[in-house]
Amino acid sequence: MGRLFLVFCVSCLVLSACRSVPKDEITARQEFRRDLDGHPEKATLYLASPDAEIRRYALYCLAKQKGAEAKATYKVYLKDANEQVRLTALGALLHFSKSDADVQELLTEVAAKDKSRQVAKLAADAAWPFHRDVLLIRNDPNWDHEVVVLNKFQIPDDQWKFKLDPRGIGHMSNNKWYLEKLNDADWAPIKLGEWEKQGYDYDGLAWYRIRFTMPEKVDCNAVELAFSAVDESAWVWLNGVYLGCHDIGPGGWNTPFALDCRKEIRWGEENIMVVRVLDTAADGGIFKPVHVEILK
Amino acid sequence: MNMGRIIAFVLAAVLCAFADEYPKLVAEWDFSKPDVLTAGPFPLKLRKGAKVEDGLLNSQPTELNVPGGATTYKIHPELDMKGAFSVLAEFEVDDMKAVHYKMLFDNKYNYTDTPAGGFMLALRTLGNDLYCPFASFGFGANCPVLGTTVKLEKGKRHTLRMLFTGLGSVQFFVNGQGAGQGKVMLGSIAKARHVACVGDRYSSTCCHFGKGIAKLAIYEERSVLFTVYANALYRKAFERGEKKATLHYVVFNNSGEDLRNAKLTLQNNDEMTTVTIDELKKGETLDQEIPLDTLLLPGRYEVHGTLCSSDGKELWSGEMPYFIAPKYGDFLPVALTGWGKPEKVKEFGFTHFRSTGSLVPSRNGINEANRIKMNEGLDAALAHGLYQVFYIRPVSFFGKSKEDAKYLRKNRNGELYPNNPLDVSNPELVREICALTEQCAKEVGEHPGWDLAVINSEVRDSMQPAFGGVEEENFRKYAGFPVPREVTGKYPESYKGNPNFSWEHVLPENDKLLTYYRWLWGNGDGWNNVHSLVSDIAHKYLTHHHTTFFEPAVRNPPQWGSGGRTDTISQWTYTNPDPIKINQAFDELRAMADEHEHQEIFKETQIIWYRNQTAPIGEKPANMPDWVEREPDAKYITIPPDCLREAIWCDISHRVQCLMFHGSGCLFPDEPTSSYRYTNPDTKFAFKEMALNVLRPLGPVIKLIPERLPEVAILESFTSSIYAPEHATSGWSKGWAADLHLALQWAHIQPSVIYEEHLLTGRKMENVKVILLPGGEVLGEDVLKKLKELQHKGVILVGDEYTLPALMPDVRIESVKRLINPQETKEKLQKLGLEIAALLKGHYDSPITATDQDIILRRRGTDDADYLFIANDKRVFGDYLGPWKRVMEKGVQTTGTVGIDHPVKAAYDLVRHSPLEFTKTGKGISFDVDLAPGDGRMLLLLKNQRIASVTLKLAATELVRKSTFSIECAVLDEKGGVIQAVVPLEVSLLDANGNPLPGTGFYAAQNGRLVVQDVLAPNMSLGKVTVTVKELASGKEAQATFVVQ
Repeated sequence: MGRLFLVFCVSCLVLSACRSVPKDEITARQEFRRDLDGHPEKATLYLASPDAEIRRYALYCLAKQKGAEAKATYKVYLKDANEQVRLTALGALLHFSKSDADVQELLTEVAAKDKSRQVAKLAADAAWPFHRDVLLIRNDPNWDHEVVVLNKFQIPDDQWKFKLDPRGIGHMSNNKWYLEKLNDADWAPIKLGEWEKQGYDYDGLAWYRIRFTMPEKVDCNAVELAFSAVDESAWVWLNGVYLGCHDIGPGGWNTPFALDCRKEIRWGEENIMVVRVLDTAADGGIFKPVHVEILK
Repeated sequence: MNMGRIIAFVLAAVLCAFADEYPKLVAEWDFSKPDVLTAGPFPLKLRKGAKVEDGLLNSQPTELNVPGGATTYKIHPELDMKGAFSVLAEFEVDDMKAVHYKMLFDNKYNYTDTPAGGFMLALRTLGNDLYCPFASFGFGANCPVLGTTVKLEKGKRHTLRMLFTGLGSVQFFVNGQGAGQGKVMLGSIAKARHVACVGDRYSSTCCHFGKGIAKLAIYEERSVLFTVYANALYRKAFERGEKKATLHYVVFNNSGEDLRNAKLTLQNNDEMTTVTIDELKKGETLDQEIPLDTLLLPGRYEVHGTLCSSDGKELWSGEMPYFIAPKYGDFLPVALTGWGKPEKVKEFGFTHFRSTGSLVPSRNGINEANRIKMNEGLDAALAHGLYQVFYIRPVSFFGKSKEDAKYLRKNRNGELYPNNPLDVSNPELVREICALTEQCAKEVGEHPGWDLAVINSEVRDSMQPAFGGVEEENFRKYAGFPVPREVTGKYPESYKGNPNFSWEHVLPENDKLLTYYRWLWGNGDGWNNVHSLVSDIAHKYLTHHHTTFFEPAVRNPPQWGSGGRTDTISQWTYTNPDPIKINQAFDELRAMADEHEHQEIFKETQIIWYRNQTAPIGEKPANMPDWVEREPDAKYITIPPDCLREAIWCDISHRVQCLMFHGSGCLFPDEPTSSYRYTNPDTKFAFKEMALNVLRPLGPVIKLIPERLPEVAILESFTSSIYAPEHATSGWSKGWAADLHLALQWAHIQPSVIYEEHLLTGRKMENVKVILLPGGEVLGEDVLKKLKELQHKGVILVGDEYTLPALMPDVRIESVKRLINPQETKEKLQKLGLEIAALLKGHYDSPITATDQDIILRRRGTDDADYLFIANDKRVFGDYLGPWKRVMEKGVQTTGTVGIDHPVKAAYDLVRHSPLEFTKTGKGISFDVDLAPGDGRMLLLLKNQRIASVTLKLAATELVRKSTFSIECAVLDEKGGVIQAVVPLEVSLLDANGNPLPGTGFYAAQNGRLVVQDVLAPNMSLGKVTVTVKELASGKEAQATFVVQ
């Protein structure tokens, strides 16, 4: 029965690509909702709708009713042409069946392959245990004052240590390459610049570690690690604490970003910064200077 | 020591004393003389780095933060000046920067602490070779006096003379010219507690004069024996028609002998009063008051007085000036929220400004010096026909000391938060705040100059949840459960990292975090309650009319309550890169005010722009304008003129009770300011043109025209904004939610803003046909239910890629990501606007249209009377900020056709006061517009009527002075019916000599009718008074006369 249902769904997907949406989408959607009123079980009938909005909401209603039972359907709709439909399917999968091995596998696949940044990121975030909101003082809606740079110095560009992570295991509990006490003696030295130009012809994940010393404490409102550019995504820890990430896709390869570390920084002492870098195409790595900025 | 010189000095002083000639030299340091440091009775020692060179004392040539100058070796009682004295300084100014004051002399030391003795004399540095003489005197209390701005050329010799009269006044003269004066306390200054320092402060923050002082001399001046003067603790300016006005004056016996049976004769206009002074002991004062007739014509008046002894000898004669300020019939307050010279503020069309500072000047309340300063500022304003926008802000004095640590918010670990936010849920602190406000408000009392009161400002910026105090317990009582352990900040952690978060993104109504944050941002953190209490206290003790307000009222998540019970709420807006952001900010503010049926709004536009957002210092594009060379370090620069003009056209398209503008330093070239720089000289003229031609004549109407009920509403969800703040505006008119508003404006779909409360209460929802939900990632169950109900009733919901899974939008759009280049962003948003209009076609068609997207339209009014506001948003990169490509600041002329889908019989241009030609279309009309750069229109469209005439009726044609006159005006249609609209009127009353009389001004005739009443002044000219009424829609006039006998 399940298999039949799947076939039905797939045919609908094919149909949806061929048929045109009704002229007046708004009216059609209003009618759909009216039809569904009091009869949520009718949702299944609309999974084949050529209108992605109707398909998506039907899928949502199905998930509300069936929960984990409809896992196979969610998986089918992970391949829908419409991003919002895929998002809803992924949301349902994550909610009802996240711990299932097949779903875990799917997450990695979706994170790597889905063309929608939003869908790929949702999958990647679900498989990623770190999260931190980043609000810089310059973007703080509660700060209507000029931000003054009290001090700015560059982190040495030739004292980085480096390790490739082709299997994406560096962050996992048995590795924790971000820990400050990790023995990185066997990590390779690397300089600022694309890793391809330093002998690593490689696309994928890699980790950087560096030690630097902070000056004595000054009265300030923020301390930021300011990256001029990392090709292309970066996740950053300071003294073992996750600070946040710069992960806006391949387009972010040459975009400056900063992360606040006022709470984590150790004034007048040695600090350890760890950066996990993902490069999916062409050159990769921390290729422009990193500064510490002390702001008032 | 050079004994010869000491002897010569003493001899000279003795001779002067015997000759009883004033001024008598007390001390002199002449740095052109090689023995200046050792000669004379007051030798000096140089402090580190200071030296005498080229005949000048160079107080500190290398280091700014090390005490410099030269000090006496000990405290000399001879330098404790009794009675009147003066100081004469000869000096040159150098280009040393980074100090606010160049100190000439100081044996007083503290600016603010008490008890204070001695005095300090300095030049306050304003930049660009501009300075103000400054002196501060210790009478126990501190009395500072600031002179007027003077320009002093570098490298040239200048003189500053300061005269302290001993009678409560101080005068400055720079290079022989008057450079301001001020009031201080009566009598002699107290003894100095420190050695004298020439060329720097005695200690602490250094104020090096630099190079350098050529000569400094102190003289004893002849003291006046008797004087009568207006008491500086009381008002000398009165609004016309005020009741119980009196001029307080003081008789001072400075003679050294008791005064008995003296007579003081006072003449005030035609009235003579004689006061017998039975006894006035030596050194004492007598406080008196004389009633004033405030019905006099506005202007400056004097009470002339003569004090005679019992034997008829004249002891004193002089004048005490006072002012009768105009009482305006009606006007829209246009406030400069900054300092400025009253005459200039007035000239450029402002009605309000700041000059008095705060009603609460310190934690200790108000002292005499504060009262004097306040009265001076308020009187000066009123004398110029201006009012004050002033701070109350009592909270600014709390939380600064160690003892106040108990009043600060602490985190869960008992640690203080950054910036030390106050914990106003602490009742003890609230009591102290209220007591301080009450004490000051009582002390200050009535003065119509106090008009617009800022209750508090930016207080929630650093607010965080308070732990370990009353706030936690308050929440437990409110919710029945403790503060959830997930709470660590003023917003919840992002749900994106929370695996247990609802996959539908719907929170149940009893969700503990949502409950907490709704409470915290409602009344939980205590701020709204404090605003209410401070506002109530102001109203209780400041008995004249005034308006309280809180701003920035929408710099918090979108939830009703911000500002508490203040009369109005306000918000300031930076208009870059798109001036039509003003409309978005207005709609947001209106949404916040909607909690209270009658709460009105003010709106503030920033004259300052952040340099780093518009012309970053680090970037060096081609064709950099000249102002960069003049102001290379400017952090805040002047708003471009076309953008300000356009912003004001947007401002007036909303019902508003006051327009405020911040940043006088960017508007006027010579305002003392440290960071606001005057970088565009054309802006002030653009403002003046708008203020005088639009805001002044149409202000009364702008205040009254009703807003239409929303048809298209942007839902700013509290829940979404705290869980996904990246899409929210946070009161900055930025972010996707704000940009969507712009897109709708560019598509001529008039947007409004609603909050979750609008949905839940149904307020202003009657006409809503479309709801847009930008960034609506998370909603509460009840809000979701309401939205679904509305959809069920046919309301169209427009969502985006962020819309929560549980909701099905009728239309889904894709958000626009803002780019650095504003032109590209504008193009994208304009395209999106058109797409939305196309998607809604047939379900919602906007009743207003224009052939050019850069023509911005907004509608207010009623079914009978439509008011259509037009603004020209066509802009390009100009040569002021254009090179940086951050803002298109240069307006461009635009033509186009505007349409309105509503029946119209007659249309009028309210700025040009003339009928508007139009063409009838299917259901409405269309007409052509030709708009200059940054230009706009304010049109009145009447559905069923046409203005045929304006009439005026006088209650009497023969009147006497001091009697009440009444003028009834009506704007009529062809059938004699009154026009059912708010119509702007200009009323003028001219006396026989052609001078305007009270009652003259601009008004709004509501439903076509207006009655103007006033009292004829007792000193007005007799004869014929000509009354003219002009309606400012079609320009029709009526005239009548009455005679004053």
